[in-house]
Parts: sequence; C-alpha cells; structure tokens
Amino acid sequence: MSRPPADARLGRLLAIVPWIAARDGPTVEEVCRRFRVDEDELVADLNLLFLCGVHPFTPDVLVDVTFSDGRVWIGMADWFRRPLRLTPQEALALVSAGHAFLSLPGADASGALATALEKLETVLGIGPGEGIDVELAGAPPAVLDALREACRDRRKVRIGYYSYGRDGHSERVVQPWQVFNAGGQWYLSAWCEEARGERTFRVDRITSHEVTSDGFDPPARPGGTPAAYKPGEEDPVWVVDLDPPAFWVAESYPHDSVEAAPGGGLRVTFRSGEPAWVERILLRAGRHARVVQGDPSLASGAARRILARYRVR
Amino acid sequence: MDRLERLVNLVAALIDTPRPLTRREIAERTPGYSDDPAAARRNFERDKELLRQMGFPVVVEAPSGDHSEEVGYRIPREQYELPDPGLDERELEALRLAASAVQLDSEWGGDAAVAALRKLGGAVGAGEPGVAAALPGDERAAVALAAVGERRRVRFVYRGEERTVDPWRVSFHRGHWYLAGFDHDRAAERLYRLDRVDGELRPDGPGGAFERPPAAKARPPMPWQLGDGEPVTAVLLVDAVQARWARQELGDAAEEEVRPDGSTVFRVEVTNRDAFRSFVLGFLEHAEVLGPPDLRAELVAWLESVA
Repeated sequence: MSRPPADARLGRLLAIVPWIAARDGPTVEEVCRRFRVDEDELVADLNLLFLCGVHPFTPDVLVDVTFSDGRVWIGMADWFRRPLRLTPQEALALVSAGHAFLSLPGADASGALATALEKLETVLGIGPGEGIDVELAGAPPAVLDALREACRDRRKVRIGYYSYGRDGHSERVVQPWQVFNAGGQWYLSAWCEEARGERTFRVDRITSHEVTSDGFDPPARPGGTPAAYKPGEEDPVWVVDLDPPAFWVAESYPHDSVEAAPGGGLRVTFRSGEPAWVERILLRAGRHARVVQGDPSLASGAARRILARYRVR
Repeated sequence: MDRLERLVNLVAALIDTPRPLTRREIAERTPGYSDDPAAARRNFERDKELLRQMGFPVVVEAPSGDHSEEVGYRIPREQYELPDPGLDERELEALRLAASAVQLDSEWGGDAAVAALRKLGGAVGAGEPGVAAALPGDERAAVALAAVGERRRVRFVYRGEERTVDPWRVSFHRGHWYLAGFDHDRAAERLYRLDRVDGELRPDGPGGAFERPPAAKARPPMPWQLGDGEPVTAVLLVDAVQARWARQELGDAAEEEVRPDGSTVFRVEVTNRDAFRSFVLGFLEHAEVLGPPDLRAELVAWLESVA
C-alpha cells in the first residue's frame, strides 16, 4: 500500500494531534473513526511524531506519545496545541456545503447544522449569516418532495416535460432514480420508458407529474451524477461568425473552437442536434451573427414563426 | 529520514522561536537537512513552499542581531491557530452530513471538506447520505470568502479593467458565485460574477481594512435590471407550458393575470432592454411582449432584421 504524500500526512497529523493532546487517552479506534484514517497509517505517523521536537532534542523538548491498552496519549506538544486555521478552500467547502444543505427542502433551519454554521462563521469572521449566502434554484417543494418520494419508493412517474433543446412538450413514463441539484439547478435522473434510455430532466421543466402505483427495479449502480449537456459526435456542426456585440455567444455556450474572423469578429464552431437551442442563440445575436456552416434558414424561420404571433393582433 | 518528520520538526521550530530564524539556523536546528549547504537550501525552499501551499503562515522578517544580510522565518502563533468555535458532537456530525451531501465540483473540493472537518475535531457518525447537490468549486470564491472574513481588500481584473474592492459578501445564485462589495475606483457598491473575473483575485493590504455594512439579503439583479436605461414596465404574455419557468425567473410578484388557458401575464421592470429582449427570445414563439408599444415595436424590428 502506498502512503499518502507528505503534505496530506502532515495536514492530517497536525489536525489529529491537538485533539488527542487535549484528552486523557482516547482509544486508537475512536481516533481512526473520527478522523477517517486507517489504524496502520495513524500508528506509523504517531510513532514518527515522538522523534519530533525542537533543538536540542533533549527529552524535555520532544513530543511524548504513549500507546497503552488500545489508548493513546500525547504530551509535550504545546507547539501543536491548536489545529492550523482553515485554508480559503477548506472554509468555502464546508461553509457553502452547510448553507446549501440548509436550503434543501426539509432541512431544519434551527437545528445543529444552523448553530454549527453560526459558530464556524463567527471564528472565520464572516458571520453569522452576513458574509455568505447560498441559494439553490427554487423548484416547487411539492414537486421535489413527490419526485424524491417516488425515487425512494421505486414508483414510476408519468411526467409532462418541456424539452428546451427541441422546444416541444411531451408526456412520458419514467423510472425515477435520483433527484439532485447541480450548479444551482434541480434535476431528476431516470430511465425514460419512451426513449428506452437514461435521461436527465430539469425539474423546473417538468410541467406535470403523477406518481403511479407501478413499481420498478432500480439499476445496480446509482445513476445520475450531475452531468452537463454534451453534444454528440454525430450532431450537426455549426460555424458562426460573430460581431463584437455577439461575442458573449463564445463566452456563454460550450463550443469546439473559437478563432479570429475576417473584419475583427470571431468565428465560433460548435455542435448541436437541438434546433431550438441554436435558434435561441441566433435570434439573440440577431444581425451580429452570420451562419457560415449549418442551415442558413433556421434563424429566419424561427423569427417568422415569432413574428406571426405579433402580426395577428 | 522521513520527510514528514523533517516537516513536523520544521513547523515546531518555526512556531517555537521567539525571533525569526535564518535559513542556516533552521538547517542547524532541524534534523533531516543535508550537510551540503546548497542541498539544504533547496530542501528548505521546497518545504517552505509546501507549507505555504498548505496555508501555514510562514512569515519573512529581518532577524534581529548580527545576521543583517539575511532574512529570517517564523510562524506567528496568532496567525497559525484556529480559534475554537466550540462545536459539540451533534454540530460536527451535522457538518459532516452536509459536506457529504453537498459537494464542490473542483479538484480540491472533496479533500478540502474532509480536511476542514478534521481541523474542527472530526465527526463520529458513519454513513454517507449520497450527493444531493453539487456547487461549482471556484477558487476565486474561496479567496473572496477569506478576504470577506479578514476584511482585506482584493484586486482583480473585470471586463478588462483593474478593480480594487472591499469585499462584503459572497453569494451563490442561479448557478454562479458572486462577490458584492465596495468598488474604490467607481466609489460605489458593485456586484461581480466571479467566473467572469480575468485571472486571480489578489488580496491586497492588511486585514481589518474596512467595516462591512449589515448584510442586505438582496438577490443579484436579473440581467434586464442591470442597466442605466430609462425604467420601463414591460407586459409579457407567456404560454401555459413555459409559465412556471417564467414565474421562477421573474418572481411571484411579477405575475399579473393567469388566463383560462393557463397562459400568464407578467409585469417586469426593465432598465436593460437588450437583456430583456434576450430573455423574451428564449421563449421562442411561446411569449409575446404586449406592451408598452415601443418595446413591442423594437422586438418586432429586431426579428424582422433576422427574418
């Protein structure tokens, strides 16, 4: 078994030492469980610790580690009486996870997590509740609850769904696997019986839901890790020239390449098999985008469809 | 000798010393450094870099006494030690559960949450609840949050311009991390989307540099509210199928009328007409600007230029 690198071991050790030193002989087993470390690794690192200290390394300036009866004591470690401060990444990871968790449906806003965050934010100087705010998208709690319950009870759900990429509405029966939030947006991962495939649905585009009495067997592996939309290899290629007012297209949408175009513009290349998705980009860019490769009539057709609505009045 | 042992001794020496230690003193007092001065120097530089990356406050100071040519190093206790937040077992377990249910998508997100929890004393519970949510793990959000806590100014490049900002608050809305603060160059409160910052956020100057105003829990404005245009109230009709999504974006308060067929009329304050047009075009033919007449005419003209 290869050991973790020295920095990972150092960080772990200097977090564990103050905890042990402040107590009267906790069991090695408890230390391992609490700090999620293998006993072999912990014992190896602690054995090395009691060769440590400061110049001139006489017994009065060496860390004292004692194992007895499955318990461990640490003395003479005043340099390490407290753990190192949290790094910016550590603070963000824990505090944002706590706030996001509190904003999940059904979280207890006044329970142990809320008081933990208050205390933590006070020592970090950001609180309480003043320096950070995490808001996940507001999908209707009733829909989220129903879908989560259906996942848990393994009940098929009949959903109405608006497909953004195809600009179409359809009804389908799905076997719901998991409800999750990724990048602030709620998703349902499921097996779609109509498409006979794994699909991810955005919860805010589910227009109706009806939990059926039909059960199903979930797949062995947990489905639906948060996945961003990825175009397929076989999807049509679009090459579009952009004027400066439409450069945001290159910043905001996934694309294969961007290069300088004649006349100070940008030439962006992307793939998409979802016409409505391309229509929106081209309509928003207006005259500031010109299709070099791809269906040149797509945007004008979409514009005429919308205009028809304005002209009947 | 194990590098871990050398590192522990180095940290102990730098914390223990009341005055900065020169590189030579460190090599003499810390076992594990090479007898060859050049090699010892390289070892120390590597160790120092690793400690700094891990967040150890290794400060450089001019040593007192005879070594006037050389700089010295030490770790000030008050910058090293995490103050005890006094978390009880239930609170630690609640943090552990939250950190396993909500993950930061980044190379460091998972490790950072585990490391943070260890520093706070670990947690005794078992079991993983499974991931319920994932947030983007933006390094700039981490730096911004630390600067908010230290009340330390930050500098960064945004929309091609250098900014000097008193950071007040970090927030996550609609899939993005934001920083709110006071922009010194513009002498006004501003909101920045952190993924649009060019390069890094750089802390600048001492901590405690400003007072933070009480938090205003305002959500970041929608794009069509970000502008200096003459305010206009748009009336927007959205078909039934998209009405819920529109309500989520515009807020319940914007809803004026739900028609018998389920289509919904919204009233929207607009100060940025370009952004509003982009929002409306996202509905394709499932929405219609009913008024005011000039806004409607503008949209028709835009579409005619494409049709």
